Amino acid sequence: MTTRSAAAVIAAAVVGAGSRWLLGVSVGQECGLLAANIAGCALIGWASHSQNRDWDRVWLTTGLCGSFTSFSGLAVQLAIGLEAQRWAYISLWGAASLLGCGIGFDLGRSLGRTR
Amino acid sequence: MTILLFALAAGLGALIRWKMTSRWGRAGTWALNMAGAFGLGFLAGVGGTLLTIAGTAGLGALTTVSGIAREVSMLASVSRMRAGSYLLVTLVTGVCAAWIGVRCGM
Repeated sequence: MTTRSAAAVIAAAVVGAGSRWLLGVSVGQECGLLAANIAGCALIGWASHSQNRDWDRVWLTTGLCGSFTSFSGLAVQLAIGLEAQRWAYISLWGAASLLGCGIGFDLGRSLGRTR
Repeated sequence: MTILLFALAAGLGALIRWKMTSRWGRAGTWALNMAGAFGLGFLAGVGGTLLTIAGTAGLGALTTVSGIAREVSMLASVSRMRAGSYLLVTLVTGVCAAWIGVRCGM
């Protein structure tokens, strides 16, 4: 962990977490979190499989993608649904997150490989 | 001041995650996701600036969905069964941790 890499990760994390917060404020916490998780998975899929490996990408994968997406937010949304016994909501939210993130990651990976 | 604390919390969360995943790999990611899920569940009832700084920035940056997606993809290239098990265990334990956090925070 060099100082330069650490600074890059911190800067990217601020942008990632800030963007997630802004998205939540703009379109609502639930939709914003879902969109951030899917977009973050697509971006890390691309970054992990891109042929262009001549630059340091830890700021992008760990910093930006990691902070833009939030497992804690996803788990709490499901837990609150569980507490309220909103089974349809849990099923829909869970399925949309799982499918969306999976499809997003695959899409990003495909784009990374074709470049 | 809130913006500064938000940036500090997000940066610290990401640094801890980086350090933990570098050292312990998937186990590190899982442990942080569980701790973050519990913490955010606990804070869920608080609201306001504390939730934004500690929850959205700190715990949000500490935990990751994209990291899970990458780890599942890496595991799937070896064994789909292992990848599916990892995803299932992460989801179930994460929701349980968040639920316990929500109950404790009430």
